[in-house]
Formats: sequence, structure tokens, C-alpha cells
Amino acid sequence: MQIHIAPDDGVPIYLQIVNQVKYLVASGRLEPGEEMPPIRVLADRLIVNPNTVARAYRELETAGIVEKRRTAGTFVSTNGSPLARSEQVKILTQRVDTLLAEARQLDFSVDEVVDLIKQRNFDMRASAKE
Amino acid sequence: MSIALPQTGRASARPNIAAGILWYLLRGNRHRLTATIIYWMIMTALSHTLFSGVLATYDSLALSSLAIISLLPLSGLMLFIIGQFGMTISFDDAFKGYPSHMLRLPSSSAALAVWPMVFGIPTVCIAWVVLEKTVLTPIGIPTQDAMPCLGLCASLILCQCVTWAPLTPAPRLFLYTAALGLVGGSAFAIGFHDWHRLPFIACYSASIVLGVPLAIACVSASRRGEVYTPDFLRPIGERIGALLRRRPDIDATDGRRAQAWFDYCIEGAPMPAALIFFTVATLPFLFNVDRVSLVGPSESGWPIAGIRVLPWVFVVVMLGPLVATLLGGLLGHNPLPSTIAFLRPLTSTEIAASKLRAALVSAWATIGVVALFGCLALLTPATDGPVHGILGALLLRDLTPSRVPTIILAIVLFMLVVVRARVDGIWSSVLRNHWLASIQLIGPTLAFVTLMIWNSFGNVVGYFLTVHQSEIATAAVVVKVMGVVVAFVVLKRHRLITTSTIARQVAVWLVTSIGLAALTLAAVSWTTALPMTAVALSPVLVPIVRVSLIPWAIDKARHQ
Amino acid sequence: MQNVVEISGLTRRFRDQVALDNVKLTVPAGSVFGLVGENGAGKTTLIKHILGSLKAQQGSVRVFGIDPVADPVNVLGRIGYVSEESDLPAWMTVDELMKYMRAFYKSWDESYAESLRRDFDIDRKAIVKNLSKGQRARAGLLTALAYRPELLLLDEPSAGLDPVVRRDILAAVIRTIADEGRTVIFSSHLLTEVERVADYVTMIKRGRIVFSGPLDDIKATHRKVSFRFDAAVDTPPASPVVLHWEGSGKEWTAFCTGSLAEVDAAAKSMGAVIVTAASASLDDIFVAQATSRR
Repeated sequence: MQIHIAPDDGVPIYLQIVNQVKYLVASGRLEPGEEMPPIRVLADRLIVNPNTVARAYRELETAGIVEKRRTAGTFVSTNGSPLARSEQVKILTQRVDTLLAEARQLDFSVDEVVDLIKQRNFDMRASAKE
Repeated sequence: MSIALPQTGRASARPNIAAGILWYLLRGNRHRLTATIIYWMIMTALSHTLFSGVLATYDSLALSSLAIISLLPLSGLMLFIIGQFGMTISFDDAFKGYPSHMLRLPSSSAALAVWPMVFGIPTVCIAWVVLEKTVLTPIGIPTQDAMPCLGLCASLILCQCVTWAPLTPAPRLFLYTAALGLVGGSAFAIGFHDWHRLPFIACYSASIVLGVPLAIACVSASRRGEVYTPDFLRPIGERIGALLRRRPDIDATDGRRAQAWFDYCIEGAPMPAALIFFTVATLPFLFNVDRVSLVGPSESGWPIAGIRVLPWVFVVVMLGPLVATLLGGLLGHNPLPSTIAFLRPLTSTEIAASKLRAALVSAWATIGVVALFGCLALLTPATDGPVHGILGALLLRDLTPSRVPTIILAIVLFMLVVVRARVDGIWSSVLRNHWLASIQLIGPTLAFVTLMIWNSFGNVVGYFLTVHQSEIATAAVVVKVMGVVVAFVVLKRHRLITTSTIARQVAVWLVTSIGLAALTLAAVSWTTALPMTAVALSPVLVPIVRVSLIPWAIDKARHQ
Repeated sequence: MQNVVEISGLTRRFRDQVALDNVKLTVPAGSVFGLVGENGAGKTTLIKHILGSLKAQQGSVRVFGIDPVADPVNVLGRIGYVSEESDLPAWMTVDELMKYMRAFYKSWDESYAESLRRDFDIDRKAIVKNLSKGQRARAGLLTALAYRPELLLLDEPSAGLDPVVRRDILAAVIRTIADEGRTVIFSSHLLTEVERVADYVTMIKRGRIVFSGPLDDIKATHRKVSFRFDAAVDTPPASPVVLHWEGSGKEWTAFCTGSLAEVDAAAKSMGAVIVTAASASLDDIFVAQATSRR
């Protein structure tokens, strides 16, 4: 499980962990039913306070992304899909917002952006076929 | 550090290396120069008044011993003067070569090497001649002008070569010892023997002539950044290093024992080793006594006619700790007291006890070493010739039953002095304020010297002391006892001592004092019995108080 | 949950200079407590009071409920201390050092010490003097960790060390805190480290406590806010909410303390609009607090 922590990001560390786990689940790199590393192990690996990891795990549990099985550890939820979808929408929305803000800065209209997206999609399909 | 080099008058404004070097030498040494000049002025005054002619006639044992002791810093002085022209300011610098910031100056290696010599040679010669004329000759020590000067110049140049040579510390130390030992030792010995001058003159001159280009070569090599480490010496060096670093295995059963081991390694172990070295180095001084007549009955009332024995013992015992500290510093022991003990879960009393244990072990080792040499001196066959074991000869001539208490008294006093020196060593290491600790030594010494000088103007002090000796002695003891009582009260209030310890200390004092008093009464004539007994009661008092006060001192150092 | 360290009203003067001024500090058990401040702010002085190396001139210091000056044995036996000035005797071998330390602490775990030594790759026969700076730091850390002290006290442990050693030190801190009930207090310049591991952070500036509290709270109340003024301003108005201004003309970035509502109100009163507001890193907070003239 690849998680990267940037302490001076401005975003609290526990939130970074939560977001990255959500992303990994949503993009399929963490599969439902897969075991999460124990708090101590993850804390040791990331070199962060175990309390921080514990807090992240609690948030993920509350959000239903992971579940704690007594004596067995923490596992990714198996009833995952609806949240995964909403997470995917959220992630894409963020990218679109950024794209729109930049486009506005560079004086592109929304239609021009949509055209560009279609053009790029076409190009990518073409190069994939080759 | 930037050197403000004075500019020459020329427009090219090339830095004046000579002035720079001179400035560096003066500025770095200004404190030591001041101290040297003060010492020289004091010695000049003393040698013309108090010590005038004293070593020519050996009239007074006390004055002779005092004169010899006050001359001891002289060798250190000459060493210091010679060393400084190697461009070293502190002791550590002596192992670092030519100061690197000066190697970067825009000047030739020859200039960097030769200017210190140009300044050094006249300084050394003038210093020697001045000292000789103003201090040594008035005291009565026969000296020469030319040979020592030549020897000193040779030492200077050799010292410069060794300091600037691109070597690692260990070979450098070896070369220092060899160079200074051979040249310095020979210069010293030649003063006492009627050897042919020519070989020495040849050697010294050769050293000077060859040393100059060698020094220049060393500076050039240092500038190129070369370091020469002779590979073949490394295993030998490591073995010697391991030998010098030998220490007992740690006893780690509990904290107190571990701390006692630690303190012994820091302060205890180097002492016996240094003492052996020191004793061996100074023994020749003792054995070639051709001035004292060992044939026939002694003239003075003292059984020990060898005037030099007492100062020798004093030197060995007092300078032993100093040399040990120096050697310890060279071998990598931390000369500063380690506060690691303060952060361990030990009470201040326990830390004090550990230091004391180490000090006592070291004291016993010291006494053992000196006893060993005493036995050796005793066992050397004594005949009526002038060059044999001094103790053996003295025993042949002077030992009678009535002398035995005196000899035992001398031995006991020696042991007390050693123990006291070690206890004082703890004080200065705990207090970390060496001025405070050395006031105990400087204060009484200054007072004593002042009284002696005053006395030389008409025996005022001597008369006063003779008439009132009983009162003075008793008063001194009373004051000391009062001081002890106050100290114990203070300690009890701070809960740093228990009643049983106080009782034990008092018992020790009573036993030793009564023993000393008995010995003194047996050894000394009756007229001085009373004050001498009183005096005998007190030597142990001060060490006892110091020992008891150590936990208080540690407490103060630990919680500032 | 007992407080491991309780300091109140602590004032300390060195000759004329005030090193600590009415300092109050409470360290709860089981926490990682970060102490930050500039050089000479008073961090080491504070830590020395906890050790009992300095006596409290005014105020009180209690460690495990005990005065460390009055009862050094019970306090020092439960503290593991690592400092920047390596207090290790240069002449000892590592083997002797470990045996020496072991003699004092009943809770010394030899197998743990040995595993640490192997992890840190320190040769038993090496002499402390010949170890590199990083190795010496590791050796000091080893001797402080091996007896699993209740309180691990680190004074600028990472100063001047390479990232590998710093990682070792942080990992040691993490492992300590993972053990139930043990506490870590450490002072550091490297705020990224403090941010990673600290639960509570206290900042000292010239002997006074500037802020003290849970790290999350501190980060929640400090933010970098971009303001856009209606008219160009040479110097933006001083505001109790703003620590530090940067920028020019109409666009200014402010370093703010307080809640979002307070910042909003301040913006309105200044005639500016908030463009962006982001959480500040501990580094930014430190610099802003250190350079503000408050």
C-alpha cells in the first residue's frame, strides 16, 4: 500500500492518509476485503505518530471505507461500490474545477475546453490502436 | 580570524609576512607572556633576597627546597617559549601543523618557515641569558652561556620541524618526545657532567643547519596537503596505544560499582602509570649525587643528608597528578570532568563515594609505586663510594634506633600527602573552577613566602613564632576543629551526611592524630614537643572535612 | 491519566538575562510533546530543569510528581535523555558504554539493546571517539532507549545529522510512543519532523511560551489567507488577527491566527476580500511567530 505523507502540505496528516486510502480504494489498487496494515506498522513505515494513523483509521471506519474485524485487524469494506462511485465523482470534479479555473485564466471559453477534451480523447484512442 | 597585516610603504601593497607572523605570536600569547613576565619578576626579586646563594651552600633545607620548587616552572617556561615559535597557540595546535589559515597567505614557504626562526632564535637566547643572569646565578646554580643557547636553538628548530611535518598525531608525539628528550635531556645532563663539548656542539649545529631546509620542506608539503602516514608504524602504534589504554574490565553489577570503575579510569588509572614514568625520568637526578658526602658521619642533625630526596619526593607527588592529567589528555581521556555521572540515578553521596574510592585506589597505587622504588634504592648495594644507592648508603651510615620513629614519621607523612593530593584532585574536578581549587594552594604559599621575606629582614617573624609557638599551634588546631564542626553541621542540615559517618570520621581523626602525635614525640626533641604534637593533631583534619564536603560540592555542581 | 511533567511559574535568570519567563507546561502521559523555538529561546534551559540540572529559581517543576532536584534517583531512573552535545565519554568502547549504562537501570533489556545495536550497525569494539557524528548519535540513542524509559527526553537530537540518522531517531520516537503509557518530549528545529510525530506542540520565544496545545488545534487556528484590497495599499492595517503581511499593491497574503469567522470579520473591517485561505504548515507558523514583533 503506497502512501506518501507530506508534513508541510497544509493538510493535516491524518487527512492525507484518509484521502489517499480513499483514492486507492476508488482506483481499484486496494481491493475489497484486502487487509490494511496494523496501525503500529503503518506508523513505523510512514514515520508518523501512531495516534495520527489511528485517527485516520477511525475516520475511514466512520465513512464505511474500512471495517474493523475483532482480533483479525482492519480490512477494506466489501460492500464498497456506491461510495467508490461517489468518490470517483468527487475526484473528477476536483480536476474539472482546476481545469476550468486555469482555462478561465488563459481566456478559453467552456466550449473551447470541451472541444479540446474531445480532440485529446480522439488522439489518445488513435495512438492506442497503433 | 583575519590578520591585520600592516602594509609596507610600497605601492604594490604586498602583505608583510614578518609583521603578520609577529602579530600572530604576540596576540595569541599575550596572557601567557604577561604571566611569564610576572613570574620572572617575582623570581628575580626572590633570587636576590630570599634565595640568594642558597643553592650554592645548601645551608637551609627549607629554603633550598623552596628554591628548587619555585624553579620548576622554568623548564615549562622554556618549553613554552620554544613551542610557541612552532606557531602553536594552544596545546592542541601542536598536533595540527602549521596554522592552515596562514598557509593560504600569498607568500613563499621559505618566508613562512624562516620568519618564526628569525624571531625565535634571538628570543630564546636572550630569554636564557636573562634568566641565567637574573635568576639562576644569584640563587647559586652554576650555568653556562653558550652551550645551553646552542642547545635551545637546536630544540627550537627541531620542534618547528616536528610541528610542521605532515604527520598524523601519533608519530608526531613520538618525534616530539624523541627530539625534545634527546636534545633537551642532553643539554640538561651536560650541565652536570664533564663530558666533551665537541660532539654536542656538532650535533646541535648539524640540527640547526639541516633543520632549516627541512622545516621549509615541511611547510611546502603541508601546503600541498600531503600527510605522510608510515604504514609500517601503524601496527606498532596500535599496539602501544592499546597498551596505554589498558584498563580493568568494567564491574557492571550495579550502578555504584560501575561509577567507581568510571571514576578510576578517568582519574585513578593514569596516575600510577604517569608516576612510574615520572619517577624513572627523575631518578638519575637523585642518584648522581656527587655533591653530598656519603662517606663518614653526617654534619647536620638530620638523618637524611641527601638534600635532594625531600624535594624529589615532593615533586613526584605533586607533579604526578599534573603529568597524569596531561598524559590522559594526550591519550584521549577527557581532561575535563565528565558530568555523565550527574545524570545517572545516583545520589550525590553515592557519586562522592565513588570518586573517593577511585581516589583512594589511586593513592595506594601511587604509594605502592614509590615504595617499590624505595625498596630498589634500598637494595642497591651500598659501599663507601659516592655513586651508589643513596638510601643504602644512608642506612649504612645513619640508621640508629633513635632515628627509626623519624623515618616512620616521614613515611606516614608522605602517605598522608599523597592521599591529600588525591582528595584535593577530586575537589578541583568537581568544582570545575580551578582558580577556586588552587586558592587553597596559592593562598598559604603566598602567605608563607611573604612571611619568609619579611623574616629575612631581621628575623622578626621567626622570633615571634619561636616565642609564641605553643599558642599559635593550639590556636591553629582550635580553628581547624571549629571549621570541622561547622562543616558537619552544614552537611547534616542538607542531609548529605549521616551521624554514623560523622562518628567514623571522628574516629579516623582520633586514631591517626594520636598515632602521629606518638610518632612525633618519639622523633622530635622535647622542647618542641608540645606545639609539634598540636600540629600533629591537625593534618588529617582538613582532608577529613574535604572528604565530607564532597557530596555537598557535587550537589552544587549537579543542580545549578 | 497522570501528567508526566508539570511546570508552573518557572522563571530563570542567568546573570541579567531572563532565560525563562513564567513558563507553564503540562505534559500528559503517553503523548509526543514537541518543543520548538529559535536558538537561544530557552528550550535547552527548560529541558535542563526537567532533568534537575538546573534548580528552579522561581516556580515549581515536577516530574512524575517528584521534584527532580530533591530526588534525582527516582526521576533520572525513569528518564532516557539524548542531547545534541554528545555527553558520551570519548575514551570508552561501545561495549563498555553499554555495560556501564546497563548497571544503572533495572529495566534494561539486553536483547532489545543488542537488536538496536545491530540495526544501527555499531561495532561493539569501536571507541566512541572514533565513531562518526551520526554513529555517536545512534549510540547515545541506543543507551537511552534500551531500558524503555517512561519518559524519553530529546534535546535537538537531529541537529547536524544526515537524513538516515534522523529517520532512525524519529522511528525510535514512534516505537517508544507505540508502547503504552510512555511519553516523549523533544525539542527540534526541524519542524517537518515535529509535525509528523507530535501530538502537542509548544513554541518558546525569548523565554516565553507563544503557543501551546494540541498540534491539530494549532494548525486549525493558523492559516495563510490571501486578501484582495479595494484600493492599492502600501502597508496593510495592523490587525489583532494578522501576524505577518506579505505582498504589494492590492494583493496581500496574511498569516492569521484565530477562527475563520474572526478572519472574515477582520477582512471586512479592513475593506478587503478573502481570495483563498489555506492551512499553514508548522514551518510557516514558526517563522511568522518568530518574526512578528508581538
